[in-house]
Amino acid sequence: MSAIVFVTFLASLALCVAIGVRLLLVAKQTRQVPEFALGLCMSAGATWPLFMIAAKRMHASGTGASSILFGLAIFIAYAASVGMGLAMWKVFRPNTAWAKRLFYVLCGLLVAFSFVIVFLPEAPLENWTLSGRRMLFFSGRATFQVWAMYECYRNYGMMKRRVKLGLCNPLAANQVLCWAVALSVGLLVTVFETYLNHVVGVAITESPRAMLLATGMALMASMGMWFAFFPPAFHRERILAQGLRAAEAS
Amino acid sequence: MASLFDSVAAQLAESTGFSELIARGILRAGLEDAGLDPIEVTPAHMKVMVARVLPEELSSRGVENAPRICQALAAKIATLVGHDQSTASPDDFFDRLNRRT
Repeated sequence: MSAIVFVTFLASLALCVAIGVRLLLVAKQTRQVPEFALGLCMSAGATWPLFMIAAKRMHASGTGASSILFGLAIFIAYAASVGMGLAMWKVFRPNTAWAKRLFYVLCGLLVAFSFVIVFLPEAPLENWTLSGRRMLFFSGRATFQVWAMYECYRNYGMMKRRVKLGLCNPLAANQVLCWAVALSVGLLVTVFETYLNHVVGVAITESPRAMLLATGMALMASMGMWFAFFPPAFHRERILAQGLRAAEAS
Repeated sequence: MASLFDSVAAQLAESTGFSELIARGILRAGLEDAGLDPIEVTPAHMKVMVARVLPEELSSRGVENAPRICQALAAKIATLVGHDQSTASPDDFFDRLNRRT
């Protein structure tokens, strides 16, 4: 089972990095903030678990660099969250003053959280999986994730109404839905892990079945992102045909 | 500078005789029906909403000649476009991605 978990984990990671790199290539052409922020968020953000694993291995073997790798993992994960928040603001609410303020407040919160997680005297990697710091870390990430989910579902509802008036491409509405679903599955993985760790009291890494479920869901989330940002031709054609049929019927 | 929403609401109040507060409420309801946000709405989208959704909103409130009023208002929106407002929308973001896929 561990081989399946490993392959699923790597596939999800590779897919995220590939989407991120592709978004960065688009950003190079368009020179627009949202694709750049999301590209960074997905390509760099997907790698934080690798830094965390390396930090834990080094800590176990008594190597001094583990704290640096741990700090780097936290920095990358939070930078990815900031990238997602920036994209939310610029894509969905570029003219809304409170969205700008919320973005800066959440950034400040993440900076404060990262200081607590990394710099408090207790060794952060001692029993990390079951620690309160891990809970704090995921709470920090969840702030932007919850905002992103709210914006995606809200905008999907609005875009569906715009599609009826011919003000929006049905494919774009479907892409926002895929984004929302991917974010929901991603958040579900976090909630599932947190439940196992802090309510059941079992570290997810010690349960192969739970690991398989979590990595499977992570892969689903990555595929959702793929359908959201670079929908494959068959999916694109199906959605556009559906939109055309709906327009003819109305 | 007044936003596009403020300007259109003022024009709507002037054309219908409603108070500005009521006109803003009607406009907000129209925007909601059309899936548009009062702060983020672009002039092009506002124009379509005024021409296609607002007549029904006004008729349901007993306004006579609602289609004519809305057509005149939609035509005026072109002159209100001087607002310092970005025309970005989620659709633009996905269009940029889809054009390059």
